[in-house]
Amino acid sequence: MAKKTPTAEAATALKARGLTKTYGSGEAAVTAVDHVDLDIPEGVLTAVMGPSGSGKTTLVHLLAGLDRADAGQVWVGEDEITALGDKQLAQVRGRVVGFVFQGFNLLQTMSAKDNILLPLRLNGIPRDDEWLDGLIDMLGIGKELSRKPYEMSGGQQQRVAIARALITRPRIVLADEPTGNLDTHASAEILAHLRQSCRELGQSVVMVTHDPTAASYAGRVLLFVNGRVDGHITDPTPASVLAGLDALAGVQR
Amino acid sequence: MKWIPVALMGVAAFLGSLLGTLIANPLYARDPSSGMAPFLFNLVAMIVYLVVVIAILAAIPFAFLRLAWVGRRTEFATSMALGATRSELIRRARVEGLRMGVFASIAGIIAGALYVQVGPFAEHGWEPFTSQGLYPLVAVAWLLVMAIVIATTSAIYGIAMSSMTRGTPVEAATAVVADSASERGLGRLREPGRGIRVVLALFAFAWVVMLVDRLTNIGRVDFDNAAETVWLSNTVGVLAFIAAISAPVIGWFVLRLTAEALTGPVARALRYGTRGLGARSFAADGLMQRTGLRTGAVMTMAIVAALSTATLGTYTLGDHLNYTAERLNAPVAVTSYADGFFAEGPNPHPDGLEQTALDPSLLAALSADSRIHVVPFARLRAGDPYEYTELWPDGRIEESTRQDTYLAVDVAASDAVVPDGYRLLGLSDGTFVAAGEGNYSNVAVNMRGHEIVVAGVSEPVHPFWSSSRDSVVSLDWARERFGPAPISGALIYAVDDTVSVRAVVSEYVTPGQAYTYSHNEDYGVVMLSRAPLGASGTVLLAGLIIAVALIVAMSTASQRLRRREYATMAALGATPASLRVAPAIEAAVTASIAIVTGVAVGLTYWLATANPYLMSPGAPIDAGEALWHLGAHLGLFPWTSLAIGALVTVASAALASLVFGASMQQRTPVEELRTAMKEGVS
Ligand SMILES: Nc1ncnc2c1ncn2[C@@H]1O[C@H](COP(=O)(O)OP(=O)(O)OP(=O)(O)O)[C@@H](O)[C@H]1O
Ligand SMILES: [Mg+2]
Repeated sequence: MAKKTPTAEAATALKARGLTKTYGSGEAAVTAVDHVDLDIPEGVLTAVMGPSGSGKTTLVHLLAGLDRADAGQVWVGEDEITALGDKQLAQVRGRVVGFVFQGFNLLQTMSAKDNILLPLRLNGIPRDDEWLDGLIDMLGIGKELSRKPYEMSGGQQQRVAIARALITRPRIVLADEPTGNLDTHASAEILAHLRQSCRELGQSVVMVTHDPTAASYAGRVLLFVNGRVDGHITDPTPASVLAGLDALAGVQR
Repeated sequence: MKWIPVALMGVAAFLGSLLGTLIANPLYARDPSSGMAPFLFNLVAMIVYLVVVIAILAAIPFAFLRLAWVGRRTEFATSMALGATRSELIRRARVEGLRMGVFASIAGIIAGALYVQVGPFAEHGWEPFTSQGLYPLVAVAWLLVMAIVIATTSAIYGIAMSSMTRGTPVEAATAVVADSASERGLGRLREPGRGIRVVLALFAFAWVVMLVDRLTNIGRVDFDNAAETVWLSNTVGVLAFIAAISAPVIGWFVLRLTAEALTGPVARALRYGTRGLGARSFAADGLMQRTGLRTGAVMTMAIVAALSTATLGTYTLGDHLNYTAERLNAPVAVTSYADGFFAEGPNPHPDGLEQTALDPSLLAALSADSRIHVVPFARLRAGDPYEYTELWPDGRIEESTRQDTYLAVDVAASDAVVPDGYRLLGLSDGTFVAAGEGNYSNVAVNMRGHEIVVAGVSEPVHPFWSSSRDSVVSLDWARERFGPAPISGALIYAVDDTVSVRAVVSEYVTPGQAYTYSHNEDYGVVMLSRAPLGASGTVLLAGLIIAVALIVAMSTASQRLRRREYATMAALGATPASLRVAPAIEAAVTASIAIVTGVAVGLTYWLATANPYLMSPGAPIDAGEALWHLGAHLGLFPWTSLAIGALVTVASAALASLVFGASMQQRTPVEELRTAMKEGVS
């Protein structure tokens, strides 16, 4: 893949306008994502932070085309995915976006390795052994490859899920708390890798996290509260992120 | 779905009640002869059969119950994690089964008892056996049926629960996963324990003895030296019974191994050339996973298919043999002699073939008439005359002197009546079609074969029973063994229903020239099936309904279980169309494998047991005849019905999956994942 040097006015990888998702109806209705306008630049690692239940998972699901919005639009690159048919949407999910679920969603019937290779199979993409070995090495899951997910620890499953999201070298990676189950060392390595591939390969990564240290690897931190974007922090450090979160605590009901 | 097992047990109770009630008559039926002994005999027979039948049938509700409970697995595991003991869960399941069993048995018994009063049995009853004087005792039979059904239902529930809560709570919870992933579902056979090995050795020994008995007829008891051989015969009989009951066990293993052996290659064939993409490849993935769920469903379906096939074959062949025998029962016989098979009369009769010829011109004239078929025969008498006492239903006692009398029939001529008719009934050189006391013949038959002794010449013969009303040997064979003889009689058949054979014959026979005997054509011993669809149709329909219900339940349950997987694959870029079609292919392939295996096993069983020259001890060892019957039976088998049944099952499997899959595809991957969570599939 050709190297891309980030330019001053980077293109947008993801764009959302008026994005809204409400669960339930009547009294019990929860608007998890509330008229969100958003531009995620290309080649940047973006962190999304916010209190539990603020709608982060819902947001990344909508951005990846995994769930249906009640209103609003989402663009992946030039394509408006909220207007796509099933088939093209499948193409976007398979070839353009890589997704790491909060609950991993590994296929229990397949070994770790088969799980990692699954997106290639599903989308008819030839396998690149060098890339695969690199990922396995970076994530430290060489010993787990033949195991089934239910035979692995939470952190091991999480790393397999990350490998599965990266195997197709997607332009955009959306990860829902990808380091939530990992020790400091392992998360540092993975975060460094993600940041590096953003810088060097022009990949765009959106990562939901609760961890200020993890967020400090990002180029930009979005603060998400009550289904809305409530400001952002550029070039964050753990300290500035903490300060931002403290400010949010005041905003919350 | 959870009501299906209960409904099935209700059907079992209905059948049990039918049997139980039938051992007495409908209330208004006549009361010819009665006694405690036949009642007790019937009661014991009923219990023995019912236990076996229910044990086999219980496998089906068990399979349904497990399918119905799949979604509740996490619930069971969680309650275990929260302190409920496994034995408590099992006990509670047993109690639930008990309640369901009471419900099913009462409903079934009432329905069965009512059906006996209004159903088709009203015409026939089982008059010879019982009376309404015993009717209160039927309550005993009902209580037994009820006890058996309740115990079975409760056991099914308990076993199902115990199989779903095996291990620690964590293991039981991951069994949701393991159920679709474990290697233990099917496959590698464990090293059998000592007890099992002893049983297997006994089975093997029983089979060896049965084979030896088949080849040498060691179990035969002769009329005259019974005392010495009866213990041997009994031992062989017991071992043959053991061999027979081991057949289903062997059949089960064969089904299991075959189903498994087929799955791998079929999955690989399915995947061939797909480059891992698309519906076929996903379906192959699904098939490659050994799931306890599918194993259970495949096995149950295969058993249903095997039973349906074997029963279908048995009924069809039985019907056809009855029809053949009926056709071969001649309404009129013209003979050169007057005394039938009785040995009294002016002259003591010599052994051997009758030497008095039927007037050749009469035979020629009859043969020339196109309204009738004429089958010439020679009478064969054998052995010593014996006293015979007959008890008539009206109380008359009749004593007579008789002598074994066969009809040595011109088999080629009888082919005009029913092509290969006698051969189909088993006739060949050294065998005879057995009828006991027949219309124009009479033979005291030893089941395991006996000798025809004529003037010092002793020829062993083996009987084949059918609803034929005459004991028949081949004329060519008889002449070859017992010397030349003229045609001494002819069996006369109508060419079609419009002809009265008696009238035609009376046109030719002048008094003194020959003797005419006649028998009513509807003698009425053979009870042909009276069910509206015919017996085989009913069997097929019942099998079909069960198979379709099973495959639909299984494919929807397995899709429920794999909902999360499919949702994840959709999230990773699988196209909706391929995800919709894959489960349909998988279900259709699964159903096909089950049906192919079941039909193969059922067909083998039927062909082996139906063939007169294969398993019957004492029958001549004649590969040619065995093959001929094999071919004839294969030709008789209702292949079209079977094919339609199989197609309907496979198609409904695919259709149910498609419908279910379509509803899944309406939702987004995330919604699907949520549904999976809601249904307890983690
Ligand atoms: N299927 C659903 N039905 C109803 N409400 C839902 C559903 N899914 C999520 N919600 C609600 O929507 C809101 C946002 O949920 P979401 O999972 O997006 O939060 P989150 O920010 O990812 O939280 P966390 O940090 O705990 O993962 C929450 O209030 C939650 O209760
Ligand atoms: Mg979340």
